[in-house]
Amino acid sequence: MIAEGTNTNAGNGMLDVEELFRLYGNDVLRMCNVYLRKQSLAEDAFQDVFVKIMTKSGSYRGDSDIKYWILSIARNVCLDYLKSSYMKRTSFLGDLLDKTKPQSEEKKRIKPLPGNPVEDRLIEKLDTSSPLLDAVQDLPAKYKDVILLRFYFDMDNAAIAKQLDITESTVRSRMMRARAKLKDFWKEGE
Amino acid sequence: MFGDDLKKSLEPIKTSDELLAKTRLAIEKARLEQAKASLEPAHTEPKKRSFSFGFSWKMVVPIACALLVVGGAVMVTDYLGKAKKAESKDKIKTHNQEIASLDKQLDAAVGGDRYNYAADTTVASVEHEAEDVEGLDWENSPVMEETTAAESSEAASKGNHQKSDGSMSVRPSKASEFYASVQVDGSLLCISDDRHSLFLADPMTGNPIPDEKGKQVPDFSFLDEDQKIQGLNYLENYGLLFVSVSSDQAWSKQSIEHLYICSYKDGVLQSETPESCD
Repeated sequence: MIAEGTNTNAGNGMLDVEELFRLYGNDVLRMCNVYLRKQSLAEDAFQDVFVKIMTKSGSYRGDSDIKYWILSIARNVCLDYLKSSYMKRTSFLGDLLDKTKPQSEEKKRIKPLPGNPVEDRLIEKLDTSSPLLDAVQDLPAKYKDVILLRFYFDMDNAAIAKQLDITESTVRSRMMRARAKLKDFWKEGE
Repeated sequence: MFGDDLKKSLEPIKTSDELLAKTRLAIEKARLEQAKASLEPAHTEPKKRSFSFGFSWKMVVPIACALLVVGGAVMVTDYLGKAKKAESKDKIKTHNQEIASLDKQLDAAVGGDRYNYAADTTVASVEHEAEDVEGLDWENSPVMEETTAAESSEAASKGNHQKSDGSMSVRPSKASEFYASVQVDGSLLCISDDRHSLFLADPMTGNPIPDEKGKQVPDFSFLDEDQKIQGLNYLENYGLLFVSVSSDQAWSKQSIEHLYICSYKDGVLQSETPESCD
């Protein structure tokens, strides 16, 4: 989780990349993974996010938490990836795999063959995927926004509204719809 | 809790050292390019700008100039062409007006039955041909046969009002060789107004002169009402008078021509009744 108020020399235009990796690396990669659904694309987006952060560090004014700035950069990069013609024209093997996804017992029987990167990647996907993550990944981007910010980054509605530049009521309505789509994963009393 | 479940499901996704190394390299590369771009702003940007500007100006300006020149030339030639056309039209107009006024004058002079000047050239050539056969017995020659009614009709329609000089060719086959009056032995033989008879007139005053003995005129009283004398021709050397007569047949809208001959010997009419040559 992103630690708020962490000293990254932000604000004076000098960002420590190693510190940013340590503090925000995993979160950015996970966010990219949720948006783009593909590990390889998420890694490409991760690189782009940090390249942007480091090359445009001068544009960060330090008046807000760097966490929000990094999150907005990551979100914009992911949305750019989704808008790209490459994403629209390409269907991934992982999608086909999702449709013929083996059950948990079958997953256990599948063992990675060493030395084959494609198979490694597929097995990795099988190992890391969970029904909840798949369901979140299948949501439209606007619902992913609110679900991630609310339940992963623990932001309240006001902060989400500010982050996404929308009204709180919009945040609430989106949250309602997202929860409706994820009702199978909602426990009673939540 | 949903949030905890989501965090748990995302927990396996972690950055690898390989990914971080790649990212560091990408960052360094981007920084290097940024530094390069920032170090040579005065050289690179103006160069790019100058290239683009140079390209545009170097290509566009000559093309625009060429287009302007070509367009200007086209417009000028078009304008000149139009001016020339207008000028020539004006000239033709004035010329036509002059011709029209001349036509009117001529029409007024000849009373609306004007001579066709264009036929003069053919007459000249015909006369030349006729001179060649002068002295032949034209009455029995095939040349006479050529004196067709059509030709006589042509002659009649031309309305001859010229005086005969008495030196005509043997063959009276062309229109211009027939006249409304001819000089016969010092007197002027004329066609009457009703064009049914001939009479003699004084060549000096133009006044009709009464019939004298030995100076008779051919009698055309046999002509029908629709027949009219069209023209005269007198061959002095042979003492022959040719009279063309047209017959207007309204129903056929055609003018049938007849040619009559009267023989004069020593100025005296040999027979009052003309002979038909048809």
